[in-house]
Amino acid sequence: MIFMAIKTFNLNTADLNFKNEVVAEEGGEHLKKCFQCSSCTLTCPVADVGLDLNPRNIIRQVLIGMRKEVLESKAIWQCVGCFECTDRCPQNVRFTEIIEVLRRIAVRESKNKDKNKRIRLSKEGKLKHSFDKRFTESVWLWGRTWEPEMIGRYFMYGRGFPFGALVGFKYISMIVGMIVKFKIEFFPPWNSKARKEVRAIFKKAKRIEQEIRV
Amino acid sequence: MKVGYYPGCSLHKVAKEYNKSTYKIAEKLGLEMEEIKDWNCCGALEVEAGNPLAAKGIVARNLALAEEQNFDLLTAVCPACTYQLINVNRMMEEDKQKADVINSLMDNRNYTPGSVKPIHFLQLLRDKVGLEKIKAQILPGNPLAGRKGVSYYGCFCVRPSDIIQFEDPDNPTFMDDLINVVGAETPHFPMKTKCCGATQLLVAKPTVETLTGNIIVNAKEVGAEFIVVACQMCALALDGQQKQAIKRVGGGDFKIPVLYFSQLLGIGMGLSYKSLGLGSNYVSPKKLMKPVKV
Repeated sequence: MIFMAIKTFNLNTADLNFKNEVVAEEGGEHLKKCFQCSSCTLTCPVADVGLDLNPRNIIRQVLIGMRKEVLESKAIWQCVGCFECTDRCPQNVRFTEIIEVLRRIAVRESKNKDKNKRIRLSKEGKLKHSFDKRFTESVWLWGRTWEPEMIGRYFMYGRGFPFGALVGFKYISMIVGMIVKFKIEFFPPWNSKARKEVRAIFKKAKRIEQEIRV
Repeated sequence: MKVGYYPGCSLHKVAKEYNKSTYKIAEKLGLEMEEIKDWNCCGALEVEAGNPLAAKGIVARNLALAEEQNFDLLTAVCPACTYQLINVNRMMEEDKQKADVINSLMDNRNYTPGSVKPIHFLQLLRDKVGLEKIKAQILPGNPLAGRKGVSYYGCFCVRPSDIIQFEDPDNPTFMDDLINVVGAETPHFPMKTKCCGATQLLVAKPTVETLTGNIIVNAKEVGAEFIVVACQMCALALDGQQKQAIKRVGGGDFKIPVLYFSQLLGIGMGLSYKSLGLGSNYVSPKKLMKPVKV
């Protein structure tokens, strides 16, 4: 048996303001109520199949101030958003929303201009972020998602151009099934009214969010 | 009864059989279902990840449309859409200030919080139609009578329970009641509300396969001949990649048909195979269509 050296965390390097940063975001308000009972981890289906995600652990890390460790971890990207933890939590911490906040901060900080503060997203993070982005772009383009375009672009660019698209072969049986059963929409949803208004909403929301942050 | 219907993106093509069969049974049960015009995507959880405010704005637009077109009830069959609609409606009702911000995003529309009640189609069946009325429509000798089936709820149908407020999040029973009404038995199914992980289907396939495989194998173990779902993403995970999922957890060689609850009721009501879109399911439910030999 190989014993891995335990990676110790130097508390002097902790970012004590990290917890406040999370609490200030929408959805993170209840973070400090956590009393570490571990109900979330015991009920988490992802933790159950042996992946890195451990909700209790992540909350503790955020409270201590392990900013870089949390934001660069792959665990925060493994959540499937099933709300089991939110539902079981005796303190109403709403962990599913906290994970959303952490992902948002990680993406924002990955574009930080200051090189020392910049967060490097994990591989899983890049993938999930890319998927979210394609989804949003599709909504922006058509007013609703158009799956062939969204998924096609995700395979093309999300996993690295051009060979990333080869990963599509993993899904080949599903895609062939869809084509055979006429479940793929061949033409884009051309609803100009919805499109225009959705774009206007995105534009205005972006402006308001910037005003709040500044 | 007149009800507004919000289909959502995937119901138009990817899960067209769900859409089709829902319309069919609504017609049978005397519900006048009408699609709201000009609807847009609800954003699911993906838009919220990057643009939290815009995500609320585009949901509020759908609610405003339903209000403009004079619907009191707005039903959706996609649980993720239903969650978004309910969540934004609740948020705007509780917080007046936030409601004003969200309303200001829309140029020429305004939504009065609370004027439309978003509701999942299952809940509509339970609260507004009632089990008795459904029972009256079911044919006694339907092909599902005497079989064994399990209901699989997944996540958004019942969780987060303080927002959805539909059923007991630990042991929801209404879909079991529907299976019993059709005449089939419902063995105890422990994985009823365990997540299938379908939101990560395109990102982390191995994880989803493991999660899904455990559910399918467990359904087989309790003796189910079919699984009933209420979510097109669950169907995609349980049905569309069933073979790989079973292989991933080493479950052996078998197939198990996955039906939507609307298709289940449609079969019970004696509607035709084609009108319920049963041919569009990945695992063919053809062997369920012959009456059980006694």
